[in-house]
Amino acid sequence: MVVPLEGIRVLDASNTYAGPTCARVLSDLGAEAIHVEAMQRWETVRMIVQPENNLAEDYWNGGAYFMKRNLGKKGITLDLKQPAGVAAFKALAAKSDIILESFAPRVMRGFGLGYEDLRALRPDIIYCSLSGYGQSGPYRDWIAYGMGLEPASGISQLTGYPGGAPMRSGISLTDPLTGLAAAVAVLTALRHRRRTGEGQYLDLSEHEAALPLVAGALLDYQMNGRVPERRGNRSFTHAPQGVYPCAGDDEWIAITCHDDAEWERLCTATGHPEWKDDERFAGLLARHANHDALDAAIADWTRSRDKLDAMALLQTAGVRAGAVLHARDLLLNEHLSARGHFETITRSDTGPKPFPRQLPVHFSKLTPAARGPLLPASASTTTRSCAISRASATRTSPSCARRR
Amino acid sequence: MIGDHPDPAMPIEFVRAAARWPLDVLQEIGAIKQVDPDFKERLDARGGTDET
Repeated sequence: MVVPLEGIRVLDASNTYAGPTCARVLSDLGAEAIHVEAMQRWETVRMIVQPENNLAEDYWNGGAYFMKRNLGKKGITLDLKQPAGVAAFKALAAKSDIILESFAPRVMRGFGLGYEDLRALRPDIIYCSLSGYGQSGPYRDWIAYGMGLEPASGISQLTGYPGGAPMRSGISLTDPLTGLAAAVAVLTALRHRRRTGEGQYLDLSEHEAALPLVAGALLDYQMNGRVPERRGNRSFTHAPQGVYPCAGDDEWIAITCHDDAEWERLCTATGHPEWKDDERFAGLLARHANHDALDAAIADWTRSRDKLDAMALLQTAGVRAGAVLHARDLLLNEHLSARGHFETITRSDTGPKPFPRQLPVHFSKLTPAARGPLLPASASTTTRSCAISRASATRTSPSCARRR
Repeated sequence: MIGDHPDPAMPIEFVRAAARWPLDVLQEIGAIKQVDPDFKERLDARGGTDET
């Protein structure tokens, strides 16, 4: 089994989502990742998605979000407000190839753990800062979560219905995007170091990481001065395009037609060849002008049909259709299961459960996967692995009852 | 100072009350649509080729 990042150590001082996602990807590719947490301040995600909405005695280990983002990592908690905690971090950093952190710019420098501080210990270190707005510019000290970054990056302005308020996407869209961008940046810096021997500093702004998603709107303004209106599920370039109700409660299918040929395939597949001769639907502009009538006609066809059956029928006819799947559908989805998308994680309290892969790429020569513990392994394991002394510890927390 | 996990500074009773939102509250605020009572059986019955 090829393990491309074997021998690379990542000190992951980031928290919550974007940074841990980056470290998880690197860990799945074979790096040894050490998740560093503050002793006094919990990661919010430690509490989210507890098994059966209940709390066990070691409830700080029960959150499935935390587990998913930190699978395979070693772990340690440090009090960075104490000199001993800072010394321990520096000892780990000196034995690490990559530092990840996701604080506001002043935080790590305030601890004496900025890039220059750690480069003095290890000149070829790669230090990646993932902050809301970057390390420079007037916003640099502002704090951020996905809820603020989607609007700030222009995504929310494009999301919603005409005349309605801007909307969020429904997920923390910018975090995993930034985590994957950070992983690409780190891998690039590793390649640079291998060729030159040089480490470097990576300044990654979650704000900027999201901007490529709205490149179309930016370019349209740049070229034409146009400010787009929110379009709901509709598109300027495709008609019909929308989500249509299917049989059952809150079941839907998304349908989009790229051109007249695809529209005609839709007419045939749905058993409505007469739509091809309907002047209201003759050509993209006509279909746009009569989109409400178009939607009503298509919804009449979809309403009595199972969403997956309708998707299969339309796809077979060459129409881009996608059933709207929720969590249950995805976990039970025959296509994802057939491709082995989910990895089975077995916890003593829940038994085996399918977890989505962190790096959804099917390599022909390797299999990225969590190789280590379900939860960050203990501080003793971490310090022993890094061959540093734990003598500076003045107190050890109760042992962590890890679930395997 | 070095530790294995964050200090559970708050008593579990306090955390449990704050973290365990009753289902009816979650539904009342619109966060949860429903709970499938047979979700374990559904997942147990799923096919596929998951790797551990």
